[in-house]
Amino acid sequence: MVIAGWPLSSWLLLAVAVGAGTAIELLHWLRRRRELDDESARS
Amino acid sequence: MASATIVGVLVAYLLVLLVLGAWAGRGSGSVAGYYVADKRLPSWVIAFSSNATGESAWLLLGLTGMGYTMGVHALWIVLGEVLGVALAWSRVAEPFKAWTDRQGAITVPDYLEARFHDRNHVMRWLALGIVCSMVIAYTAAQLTASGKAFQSFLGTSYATGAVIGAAVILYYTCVGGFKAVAYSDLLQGVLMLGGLAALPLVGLAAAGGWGSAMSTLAALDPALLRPMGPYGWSLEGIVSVVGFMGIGLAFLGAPQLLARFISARSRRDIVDGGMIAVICIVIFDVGAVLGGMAGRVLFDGLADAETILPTMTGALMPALFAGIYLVIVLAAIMSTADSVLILASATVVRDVVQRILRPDLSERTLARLGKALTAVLGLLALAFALGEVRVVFWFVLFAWSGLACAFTPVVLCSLFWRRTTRAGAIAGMVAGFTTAVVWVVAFKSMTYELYEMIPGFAAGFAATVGVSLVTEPPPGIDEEFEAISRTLAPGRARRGR
Repeated sequence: MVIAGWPLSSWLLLAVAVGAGTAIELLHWLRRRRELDDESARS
Repeated sequence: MASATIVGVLVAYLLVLLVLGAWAGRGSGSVAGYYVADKRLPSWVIAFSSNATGESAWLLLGLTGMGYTMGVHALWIVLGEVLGVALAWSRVAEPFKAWTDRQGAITVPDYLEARFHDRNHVMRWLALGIVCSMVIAYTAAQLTASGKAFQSFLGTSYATGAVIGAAVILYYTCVGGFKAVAYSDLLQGVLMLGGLAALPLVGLAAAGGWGSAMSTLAALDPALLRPMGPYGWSLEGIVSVVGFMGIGLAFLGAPQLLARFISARSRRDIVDGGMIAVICIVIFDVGAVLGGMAGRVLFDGLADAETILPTMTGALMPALFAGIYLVIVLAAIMSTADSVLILASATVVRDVVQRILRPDLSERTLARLGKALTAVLGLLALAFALGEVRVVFWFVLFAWSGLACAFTPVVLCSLFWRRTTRAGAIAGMVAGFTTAVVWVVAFKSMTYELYEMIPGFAAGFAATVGVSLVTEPPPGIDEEFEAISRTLAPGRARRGR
């Protein structure tokens, strides 16, 4: 299947290339920000 | 007129770097001030500095060339690099920062010696040999690229370009130390980000828009739009994918990148820096690949694919922007050269002179020695670049991967496996480095050009784990790991008790 000139598999590669690392970092960032805020509030 | 505009942009950029060097020089009177900016750098600076250092001129010339020749297949490099950066910031940075702060370490060998109680300084001497040999070659290569950039954009001689590049880098690195290096990296990273975000937009617009450009690429070669490129699902294709993804492994523990984590102001800056670094690397890499693909539509048949960026800027943009892109290429060159130079200087002055040979010297004397040594190393690299010494360019083939393979497996094991021993770490450094070198020399051509980072990492991990299993870990390591865990997550540690 071709979407906007690219095969679906190429779109999937682009999505994984951009999304996998970004998702890992985003989840980490959200969790750590919350933990650091909690730490600041306690101290 | 065009040339005057380009020269004007270039001179403005070089002046900014000189001012940055003078500004940062005020805080460089001690060893920690000169080599890690007294551990006071904010998130934006460490994030951009890390990415600009990790990506040399290869990003602008090499990766755009990959997009040009391989099309979508080059996105596997994007996957490897984005994952590498994300894992480095989310998994490695905070524990490494916690360990180095606890030990008062300011270099990777500082950390390794304290972590493994290496009283004979074997790891410092080993690091000295690996870092200095690789760094001089790597800096020489960057100065060569500077000479060629001046030659192609401005028509100056190669030697003039190499000397100007070296003079500016050496001034701000010697005077301003790591702070100047990091803030100049921020400026250089922002320039690279803007340039690589704009490149595919300009290229695709000139090619008639996305649909038209992709139709042309499909007509030129349908493999340009397939994930496995010209190889298909063959052994060669899989080797190519593994090698491309392996490029990102260096982000997990190359010493010049770990120095950014050490120099961070706080853990919060590392947490915020990670998000900035990942967004930045996505724009860098996707921009380079799509820019190269757009360039293929417009300028099919280039003899050297790595000239696609200067070709596009020269043909599609006014002189002002051609000048800006020259500055961006120089920025990529300088941000890497300055960082590896100061890494080598730190390895000699901090790791050998201060810690082994002359602990009695004052901080001020050592900082002066560091500045002098940075100049000597830079001049040595310039001499090699001007002489176009062949053996240096042979070293350059594995300078990036050799440094990464020597340190990364050992650093990762030391952070996450408390059973890692001093003997295992030494074996891992030697095995990772030598395997990367031997692979390039003897095996690479026989294995579909499999990138040496993969066997180098495998050997580094295997040697570290194998030797650690038959030797004793340092005493008190459990207590040290517990202390680090409490530092990293005090809330969780309290709840767990």
